[in-house]
Amino acid sequence: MKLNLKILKMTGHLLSRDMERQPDRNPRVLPALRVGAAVLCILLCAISRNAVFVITIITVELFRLAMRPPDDIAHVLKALILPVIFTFLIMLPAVFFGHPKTMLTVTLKVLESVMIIAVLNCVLDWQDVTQAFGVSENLSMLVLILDMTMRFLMILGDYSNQLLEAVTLRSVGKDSWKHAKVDGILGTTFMKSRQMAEATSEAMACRCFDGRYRCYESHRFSGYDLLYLGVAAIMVLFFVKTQKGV
Amino acid sequence: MHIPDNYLSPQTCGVMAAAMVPVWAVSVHKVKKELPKDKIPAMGVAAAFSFLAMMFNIPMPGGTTGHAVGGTLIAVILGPYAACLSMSIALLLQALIFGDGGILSFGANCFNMAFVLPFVGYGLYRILLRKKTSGRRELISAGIGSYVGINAAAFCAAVEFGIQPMLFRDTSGNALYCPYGLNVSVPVMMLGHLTVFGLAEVIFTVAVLAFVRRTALETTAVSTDAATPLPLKIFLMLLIAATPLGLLAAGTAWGEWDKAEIAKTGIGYTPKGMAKGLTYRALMPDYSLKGLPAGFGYILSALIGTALLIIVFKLLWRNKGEDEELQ
Repeated sequence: MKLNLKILKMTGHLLSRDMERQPDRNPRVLPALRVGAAVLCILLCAISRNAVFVITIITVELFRLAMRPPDDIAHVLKALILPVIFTFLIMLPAVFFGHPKTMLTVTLKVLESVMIIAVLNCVLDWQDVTQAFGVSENLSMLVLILDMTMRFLMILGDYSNQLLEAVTLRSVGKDSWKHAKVDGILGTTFMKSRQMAEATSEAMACRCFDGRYRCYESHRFSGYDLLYLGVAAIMVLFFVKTQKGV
Repeated sequence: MHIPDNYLSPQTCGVMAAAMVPVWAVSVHKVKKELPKDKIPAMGVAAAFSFLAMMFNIPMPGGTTGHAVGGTLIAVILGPYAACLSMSIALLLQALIFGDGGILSFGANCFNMAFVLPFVGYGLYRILLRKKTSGRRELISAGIGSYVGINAAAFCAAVEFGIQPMLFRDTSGNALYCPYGLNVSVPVMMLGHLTVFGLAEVIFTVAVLAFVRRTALETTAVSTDAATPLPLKIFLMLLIAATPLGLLAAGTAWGEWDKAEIAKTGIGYTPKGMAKGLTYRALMPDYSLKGLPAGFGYILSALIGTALLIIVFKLLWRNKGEDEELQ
């Protein structure tokens, strides 16, 4: 019952967000372009051999972020704090081993990657991201797998937590079966996951959903898209230029 | 006009910082009470404009440079108290990240550029404007106000420099901090500001004010979700793209030489207070990044400074909104 309520709440939250965002839909730039440029940017930063490219991208993203509404800024900054601090702490020993640059490089790259994704998350709705991945059948499958994984991680996590709670409440005194409770819970959760997978598959069949996300909104290639492609091309050229002579 | 560290004695810096504390306190109180919540993001944009104005260095005969400040402009658009806070935050950012202006002398820089400049400029603007608010009269009043404001600030900076050798000398009679007395600092500082830099301040104030009034940005800059409107974005980006023009002025501004340069200005020694004074290494000293061409580093610095100022004020807007909701 508790589980169903949680899923209902989650669905309700998503639906209400959709209703709120409905007027802004129909983005100016093709979502696939935005997602592609973001992925490309992260990849280029990851393989960049000097800090110039990474710092430039961080600066541009910071400026883009500054132009967003305050709520988005707060949302992005919150998303940034934990990974950046975590990376900084993990890489801190590098400073004591005489490689402070390594610490700085890795932290900057994490900052840049998380920032790009967090800003993209503000700019694009989850439906737009799904639409962006829907351009190819393989990518569409990736979205389905990701979606299922996230959903079932939450549902099964909650289920196993409830099982653990129930077992803990019943295990008063010295019981030999108490030691077997972890593998028991895991086994039961696995069986439950199989049942749920079958139920999901049947539900998909009932709704004629074969796992492919189709987009019914057509996006005409506009000047904005061309401009975005131009910016992405400049970014690649700038990357090539900064890598020369390293 | 950005006084670096070690040009003023710690005592002078302490007095100037103490003088600024009540000004900041009153400004915060007034902004909280009087400035509508919607105007707070505009404070960030105004601070960003001022930050960019200060990056356009203008050369003067004799190798020195200077720049416009834009304090009167912010005061005209948002009021003198908001201008004081905006300028203070812009100066803090310049000192901490770009090493423009000292950490110890932050109070003195704020006194000159965040207090004297906007309040004098705005006061004169109000007197000249009286009750008439016609477009041309407003622009002329703002222009005259900004000219007098920047000169008043420059005069204060000159006096702060000039009193150092009178008050602080070592046993051999050499100055401990700024070696130039009032007889040098006042004419040199005022000459530049009464002519070129004053004119630059007038042009900057009038041009931006005319643009803001024409596009009614003071109202659109504060849309319901506080996102920055497109004309403002374009204007900011144009200014940022043009900032490398500030690098054409190769010299160092008067009173902003480093330890190595000061001995070569004609005094023949480096004052002890400067040689052994505070040394702060900024993240991007002189608006540059190691390994990057100067022009590109300048643009990146402009982007970072502008973005940080706008972000700070937008977050303040958000916090003020939450506080009001709680009340």
